[in-house]
Amino acid sequence: MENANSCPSLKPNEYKSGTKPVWCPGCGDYSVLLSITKAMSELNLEPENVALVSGIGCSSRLPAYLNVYGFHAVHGRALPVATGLKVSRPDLTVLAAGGDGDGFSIGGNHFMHACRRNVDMTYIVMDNQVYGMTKGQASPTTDPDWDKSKLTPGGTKINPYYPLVIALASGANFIARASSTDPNGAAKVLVDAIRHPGFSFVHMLSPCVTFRPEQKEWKKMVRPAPVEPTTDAAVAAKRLMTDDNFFLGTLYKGNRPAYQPELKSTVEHLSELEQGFIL
Amino acid sequence: MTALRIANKPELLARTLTMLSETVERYDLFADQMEVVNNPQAAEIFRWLEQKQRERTQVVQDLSEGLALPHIPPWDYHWDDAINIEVPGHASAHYMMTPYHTLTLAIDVEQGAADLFDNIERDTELPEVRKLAHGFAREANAFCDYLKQKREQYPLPQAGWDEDEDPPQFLE
Amino acid sequence: MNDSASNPLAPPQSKGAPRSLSIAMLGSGGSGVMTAGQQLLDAAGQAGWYGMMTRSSGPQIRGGEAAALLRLSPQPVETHKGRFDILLAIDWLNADRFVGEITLDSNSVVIGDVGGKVPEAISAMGGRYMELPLSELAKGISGGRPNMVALGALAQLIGLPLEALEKGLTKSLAKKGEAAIEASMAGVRAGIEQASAIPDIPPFRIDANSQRERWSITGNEAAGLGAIRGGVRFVAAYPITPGTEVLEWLAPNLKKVGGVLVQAEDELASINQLIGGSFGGTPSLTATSGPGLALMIESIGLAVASETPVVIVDVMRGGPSTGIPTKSEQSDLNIALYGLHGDAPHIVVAPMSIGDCLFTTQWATHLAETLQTAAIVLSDQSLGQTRALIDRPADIAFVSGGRKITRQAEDFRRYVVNESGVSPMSIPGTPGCQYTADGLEHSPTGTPSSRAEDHIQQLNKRKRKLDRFDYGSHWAKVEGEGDIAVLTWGSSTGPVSEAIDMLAAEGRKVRLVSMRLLLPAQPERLAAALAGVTRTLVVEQCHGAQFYHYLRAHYDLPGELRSMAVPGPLMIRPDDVYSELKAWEHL
Repeated sequence: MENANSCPSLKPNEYKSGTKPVWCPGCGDYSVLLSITKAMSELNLEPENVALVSGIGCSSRLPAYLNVYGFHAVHGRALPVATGLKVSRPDLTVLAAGGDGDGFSIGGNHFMHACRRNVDMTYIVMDNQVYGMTKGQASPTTDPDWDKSKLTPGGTKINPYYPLVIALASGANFIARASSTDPNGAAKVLVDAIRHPGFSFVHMLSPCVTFRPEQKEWKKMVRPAPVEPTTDAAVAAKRLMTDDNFFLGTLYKGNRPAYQPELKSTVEHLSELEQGFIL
Repeated sequence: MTALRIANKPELLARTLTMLSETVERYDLFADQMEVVNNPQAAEIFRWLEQKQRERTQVVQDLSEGLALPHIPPWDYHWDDAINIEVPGHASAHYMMTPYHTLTLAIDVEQGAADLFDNIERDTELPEVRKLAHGFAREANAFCDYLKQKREQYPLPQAGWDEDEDPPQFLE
Repeated sequence: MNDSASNPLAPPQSKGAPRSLSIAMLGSGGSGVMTAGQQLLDAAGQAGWYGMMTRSSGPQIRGGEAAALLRLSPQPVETHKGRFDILLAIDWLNADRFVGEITLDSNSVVIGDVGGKVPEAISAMGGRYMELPLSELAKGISGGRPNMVALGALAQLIGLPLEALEKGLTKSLAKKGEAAIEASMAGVRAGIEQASAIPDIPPFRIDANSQRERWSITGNEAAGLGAIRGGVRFVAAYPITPGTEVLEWLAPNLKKVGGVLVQAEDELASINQLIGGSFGGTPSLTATSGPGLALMIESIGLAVASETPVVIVDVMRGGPSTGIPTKSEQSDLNIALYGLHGDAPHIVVAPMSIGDCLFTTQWATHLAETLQTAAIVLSDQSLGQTRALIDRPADIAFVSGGRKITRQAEDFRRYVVNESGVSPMSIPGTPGCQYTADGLEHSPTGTPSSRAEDHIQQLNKRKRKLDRFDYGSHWAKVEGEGDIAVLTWGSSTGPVSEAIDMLAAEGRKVRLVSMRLLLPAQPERLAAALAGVTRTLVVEQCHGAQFYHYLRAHYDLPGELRSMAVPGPLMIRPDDVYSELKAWEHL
């Protein structure tokens, strides 16, 4: 019963907005939604003090289904929106969420710099290795020989991107993998991620039943990582480089201080700023 | 909570309530999903299941009246979302699922629950836990039988039940 | 070359324009002309004068040829003249690149170091040439530099008191210590002595002695101050010429007022960080230039659709593409007005002088916050990077009409359709008013919707809130009367205004209309401003006549219309506008 300090004041269900999702029945994202509500309940977060920012894609529809402040932004830009929000409103709990195309392709540069900047927020990427909203094209995490998209006949022939390795190299302070096939385990990872200071990255395996039905097999492949979270980046590097994409749990917990400028005025009157202009 | 030793009666009640409530929520979600994908037959059965499950939850709620139930964090429940043991997994829903599938899903859940309570009854040394688990198992088995009977009204799905000639939609 | 006797359209010397002196200082590779020019401007300010200084330089990061272009006057000045009274070169290396910017005539004085070779292109313009031993005098002083000798000589020629120079140098060299100040002053004194020995120098005297508080400020700094006065406390930005100084001024000053500037990884990040900051309730702004604006465009649409206030200051430079980063042009008008995809009503405003960068940016912030939309401020390199001596701008406080709510409200609907078009905007942390801001078309509650009814309601609402707002007299500067008008905007206002003054001195009345508010268009207001006009000249610094075409698209303009559309990098000068008007009018 680790982390169960008190009885949550809101049930997971009370973090839902009542808007019915447009996701396909059977989609892993339903389970991720549940995990997020369970994590928020366990953390006793007040819905009005939480903001969830997303980009574009199936998983980016998530904010509308929650009873917290939400921002459904443009494709690839969830992290900058979340960064601006958290830096200027450090009192809020800020989460960002999206898919593999949103986060690693069009938003790839922001991912790297969000890791590096280490603002205190949690980024959940629901990875299904495919673009669902535009009808099933290859994403940066798609295997090179996956040939089901008309856009890449015969497969992409390009090696996939390893988001956890990139996160570590870029400076993320917390790196974990969870799976929609285990929503309770995912809730635990999310609780840890939100609690950990700085930028937390959660790689969330979330199968696409429509375009990648073979991903139903993921449930047989995922397993808890047989290791404890490390604070040593070198150990983590080896762990992540040899990872087969199916180990679940917290894999790295850094101790870099989060980036948060102090927002405190030191002038009595704005006219003090004008002194430099006066001859 | 498969193969878990139960410490006392409040813990068993807390775990059972969580399990039942989560099942209520899942049937509610499935009913919503089926409404959204225009599958009224499956939606109707899920609504019915939700209602039934709600009534059963109320019974356990009444049993818990006046007892201080412990808070057990979600990760203490080992539910596999891909299968339907104890609670239905999200992955089990399909937009073209038939009433037969819907009831089979519920039967699996009840069977899983019944097995669980059987195990608890077998493993515990506490008489009050044993008694309660026994009752829950009996109840789950009865409901399971009832569902099986209900399922007989519906035909077995034919091969190709999930074939859709139209392609998926472009959204964004 | 530019002989007024042989060109009937050339303006009379300085008539109607402010009495002023134009001075160019040239030099390359560490000659320190920018520092000397800055000192001269500061000293002029100390002496109670007005003035401005523009920097012009080659593309080199270090060691390039550079020119400090100054105009000093007893009255406020907002533009350079083409003609220069004094050209002083510390050296002449590559100096001919500035020929287009500096015009000399027979009354000009050209000063060079002893033994220097004046480029053909410069000597051909005329002017009286004389030599001063700048390097030699500097060598005789421990730590002496030719630029300080030049500074002293120029001060002597224009009658700038030594005390004014001393005050400025002491202030700016305070960190370098007593020895540095003494070395500089020794150079200045040597220059003064040398210049007083020059015989027959025409009088370049300016008699001004105002004791009013004088500011030395660039348009970029003024925009920064306007942002903070407008309430901006969050800035995210990516460096770009010529907008960076807005950010450089804001970074330390935002910190003082409890705000913050984040250097983002690119412009896509900076605009989206603003949207996040503003969603959190903090007024947010960025500064950029054309290429950066182009990158931000998609998300400016998000700000419009999600009704999240943001302000983007575009300090325009020559385009397209990387174009001419260090030179001015008004050619981002089209992208600012029309660049957004979909029907996306927003605000576009433009400052018309260096000092006005403050007011216009503050106003833009007020409009964005009040109307919950994106506001683009079109400044440009000539306003942004020119330093001017101005009177302290007035404090203006706008009453915010923004409907931000921080307390639980009954029946909260973020995008509720109402008469004003401005819906309540709850700030995260407010219980019971959670919503999801969305760039997808949405219902009044914010739920994504592709229904025709929701689309038309929200389109109407987003347009209505801009259309119904009363922008008051700030929409434009309207001056003068007569049946001929000049219609202009932004940095072209300075030269147009001065050309009109020159014509007024000849007894010819010309109306000036300079538009500060470009979007939403104000057809009724412009029609009233142009009532009775039979001919209108449209002046802009842009090859594609973007402003002219914008006017043709949104307004009914009376009488005959003519376009004067001049691309950068050379600035439009008052003489150019004067000549254009005279050519049309046959006055």
